[in-house]
Amino acid sequence: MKSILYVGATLMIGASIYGFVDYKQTRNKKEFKEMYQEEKAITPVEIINDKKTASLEQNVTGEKQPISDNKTVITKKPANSKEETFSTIKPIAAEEKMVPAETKVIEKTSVAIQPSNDSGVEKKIKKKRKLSTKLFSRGALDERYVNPKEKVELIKEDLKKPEIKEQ
Amino acid sequence: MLFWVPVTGLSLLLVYNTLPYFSFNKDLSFIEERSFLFKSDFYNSCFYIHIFAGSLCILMALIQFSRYILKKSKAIHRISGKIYVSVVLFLGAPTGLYMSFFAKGSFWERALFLFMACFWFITTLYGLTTIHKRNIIAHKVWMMRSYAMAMTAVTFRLYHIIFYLLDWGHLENYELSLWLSVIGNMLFAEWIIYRQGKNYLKSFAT
Repeated sequence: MKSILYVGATLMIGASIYGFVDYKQTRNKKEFKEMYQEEKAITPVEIINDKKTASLEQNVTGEKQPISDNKTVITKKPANSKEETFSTIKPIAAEEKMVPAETKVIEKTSVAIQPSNDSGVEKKIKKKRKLSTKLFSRGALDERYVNPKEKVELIKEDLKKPEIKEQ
Repeated sequence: MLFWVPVTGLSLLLVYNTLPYFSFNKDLSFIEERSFLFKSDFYNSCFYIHIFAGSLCILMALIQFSRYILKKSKAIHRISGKIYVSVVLFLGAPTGLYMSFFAKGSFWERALFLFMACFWFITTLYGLTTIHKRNIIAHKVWMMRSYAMAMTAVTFRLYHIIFYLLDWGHLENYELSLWLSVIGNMLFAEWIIYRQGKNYLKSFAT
């Protein structure tokens, strides 16, 4: 009877001392610290289309001022020297005058940004957790362990960039 | 009967779910989560000893509390009792004590595991010493306490599943299940001891 007590007590004391020493050595290790940290499970999301947001449509209007044809070029004249001779400037003939063929009138442009089909409102899909005998285990009941194959994906269907339509 | 049917069913389910671990496959969730600890040969061996001891204890305890078996053959009760006690004292409690230092949760959860290992060891030891002194009532009481501690493995899983289905966060679920299973089992054992003690005293009065 006493031998049972001694052997058991020795094992318990040994386990506690060894466990404590081992724990002290490993507790500062990065891998140990990160071991039980919960990973943020990526929950599937559903994009709801029914919510209409009125403020999403934006009209961008831009007016551009017509460019004037008459350009005045200011040039600095060099200082006239005394010996300089002036030649008379002949008037330019009407045919030689440079006149633009067309006058371009830039139209008013309006750019409407249309929202994509999805309004960006996300709703978390609640997965129904099924009861199974396999769950009756000491293992973590975490999604990443319970359904390891079912890598949770974002169901966000391709979020289209806002289309720019020119009217 | 109403108590023992679910207890037996859940105990057998626990043992059944422990069997895959003996394939020494590392793809199991418990091992995957503690992959860093399982690099250590000592932890590895402690884990396998602990689950073997735990399964054996739970199976043996089912025989121990059967009045039918006790009446039919005391030898079965004695043999299974000896197996239970030796497995707890030499394998289950010491390995559990070592593993408690690396248990999941905060300092308090580790402390709880430490307490569980010590309490399991002491109650089983008292159960053994009392029967050696032919004190059957005390033996029953201490063995009930010991069994309550062993059954935390079952009740923990039960709470864990319930909270999981209720969509609780993993860590909160784990911690609450752990505390509930230990305190709940201890209180339940004490309530049964109190009730049986009351009935025992009443038998003297009539």
